[in-house]
Amino acid sequence: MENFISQLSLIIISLAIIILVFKLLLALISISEINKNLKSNTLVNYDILLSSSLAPQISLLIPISNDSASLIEDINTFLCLNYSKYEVILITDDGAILKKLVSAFFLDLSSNISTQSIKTAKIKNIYKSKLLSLSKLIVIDKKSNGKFDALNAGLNICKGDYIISTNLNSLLVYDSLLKLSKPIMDEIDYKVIAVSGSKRVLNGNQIKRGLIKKIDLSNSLLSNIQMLNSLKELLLRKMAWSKLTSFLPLQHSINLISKADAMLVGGYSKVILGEDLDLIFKIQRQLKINGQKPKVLAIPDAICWFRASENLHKLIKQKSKLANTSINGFFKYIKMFVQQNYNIIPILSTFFWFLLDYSYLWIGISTIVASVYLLCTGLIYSKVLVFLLMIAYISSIFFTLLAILIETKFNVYLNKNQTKKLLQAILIEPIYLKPIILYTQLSAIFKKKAS
Amino acid sequence: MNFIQVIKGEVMNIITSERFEELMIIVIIILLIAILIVSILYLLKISSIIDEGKKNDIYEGIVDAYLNDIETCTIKIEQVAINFIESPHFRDPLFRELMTKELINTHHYLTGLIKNRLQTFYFSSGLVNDSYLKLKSNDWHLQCKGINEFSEMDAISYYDDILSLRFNKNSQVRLQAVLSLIKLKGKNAYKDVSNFDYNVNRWAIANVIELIKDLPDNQIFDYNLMLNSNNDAVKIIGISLIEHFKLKTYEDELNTLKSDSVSSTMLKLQY
Repeated sequence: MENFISQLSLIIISLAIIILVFKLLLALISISEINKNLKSNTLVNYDILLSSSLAPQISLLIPISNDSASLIEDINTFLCLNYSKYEVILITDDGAILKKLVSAFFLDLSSNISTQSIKTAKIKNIYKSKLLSLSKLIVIDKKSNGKFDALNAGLNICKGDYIISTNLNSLLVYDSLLKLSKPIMDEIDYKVIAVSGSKRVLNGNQIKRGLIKKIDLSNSLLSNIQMLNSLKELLLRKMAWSKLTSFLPLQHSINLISKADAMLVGGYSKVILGEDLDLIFKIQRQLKINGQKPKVLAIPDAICWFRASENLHKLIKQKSKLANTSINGFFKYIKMFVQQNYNIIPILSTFFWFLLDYSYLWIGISTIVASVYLLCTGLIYSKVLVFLLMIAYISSIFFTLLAILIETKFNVYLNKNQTKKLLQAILIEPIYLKPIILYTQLSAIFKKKAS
Repeated sequence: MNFIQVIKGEVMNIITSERFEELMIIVIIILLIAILIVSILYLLKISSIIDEGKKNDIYEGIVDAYLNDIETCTIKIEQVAINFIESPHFRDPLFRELMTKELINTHHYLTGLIKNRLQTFYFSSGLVNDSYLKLKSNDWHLQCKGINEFSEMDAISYYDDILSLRFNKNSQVRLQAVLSLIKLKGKNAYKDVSNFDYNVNRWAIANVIELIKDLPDNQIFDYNLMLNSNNDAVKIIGISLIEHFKLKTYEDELNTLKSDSVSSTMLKLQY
């Protein structure tokens, strides 16, 4: 028994050290990529894209199923983006919402109902505004059949070269479309199937007419903790994944996806979560079969803001969704790599992505195992438990601080009150959010096993 | 296999021995030192941002005063330049950088006598030397900045220096050089910018097209030359410009080109 526990300790410690070293490597690659990106962007005149005929046409697909008091205001922020070649397609199956939209945007029935390439539930009507200033707005009224079906209905009628699926809870940055389309125009060696921009926590920031007026922190500890957690994901990992492989974890992301490729694979599928991840996965698989080199690019800029949950129950629900998406994505990728004889880099990257994504789980399991042992057999290996916990806590603080240091390139928190809130969140994040993530990841694994 | 077992044995010995504790303490100390370093870097960064902000606030006022002197045509421009060089802030690169930036911004939107005075100030105040140092630097980012500053201030005497960067290994420097050459010499730069054998991305083509669209009428490129170029990117730029200006005289050539040789390249430009 003692030998078994020793062996287990060995595995746990080795795994923890591998994760630590790999996280550090990823952070270094990510920092170098962010620096490169920022350096080259200082010279870019994005206004070129406003008048260029070579700029890609973009379609925003926004399914609306819930009415809210700010519905019209939220839609207006999408209509005021700084980009000339784009359209906003709202898809709804709710009569009350449609009525509200018709009166707010002076909608009229449109005679253009294009032929459907992808099968969807029946489209009842398509509306366009009578006002010239709202010519980029299209509203689809269709029968209800889930989010994926709504997105496919939008995909069928949109004119864009690229699509973005989003929702009204997300606030797109004024220049977001310029920033997302620039990398597509840069690439010549690869086929860019998607560009992934970052989604950042909105809580605390001051917004006016869809624009961030002042960067600040929330008074809610829970939302600040989530902000730090997403910062680590975006600034210390995502850019590195983009450099190393085309197979990106697309959490906290807003994605610009090639319409032609989306049509090629039959559009969005009925998945519980992660429609974009699933679509990009299908495109990658198809293009690989066709012998093409697909590429998914990432940009570090905040493209979209979202309101993080300040309610613990809702947060657990959100994290469960993320854990499910992550585990499903991992198994799909691995299956594809094995079936299609991929080289070792994407396989290793995906393995490490999963290992990192689920690192809380490994550390959590090790803690539980060590604790059980401690209770059963005395204190011989208690030091393993204590040291592991200490290393997990201290390393988490280190990576959070590193992310905040990189964040100074984008936003800076200067006053004393903000520093106090940051410090509080940094110290509490590892012991508050991580057990939640551990719990949600464990349940995702059990669910996967059950399915 | 033996090697792995030896390693495994060694690690097991470490875990079960007193040395394990020492090892873990070392790991924790390393992490704590890393935290300390990152915290210090963060504090330094914050303090440098605050300092720079304060300096910028002070310098902005002084720069505005100099610009005001330049725009006030009653003061000799040479005298403004001397005052600038003798100013106590002249030695601070941040101050000169800010002055160059504001000079370029103002120069961009003005015409006539004031534009000329801004240019003269740029040369006689020595700010042109800063741009030259950037151009000759090994950092591609600085090279691009230097090229841009020369072209924005119409420093045509540095045309050949920019031309030497035309085939630089960095694609951003190459693009910046092409844009600046066209900006400085208009249609006369055609022979210098149209011969290249590397692939050009959509971004570069879009930049060149938008720049040529904004050139004065007497600087319009010879579209026949562009349409008959051996380079597909040049042909595409020619076609885009003809379509933009709706030049009906080239309709036949355009139709022929679109149907054969360039069509494959045009297809490449589609998303």
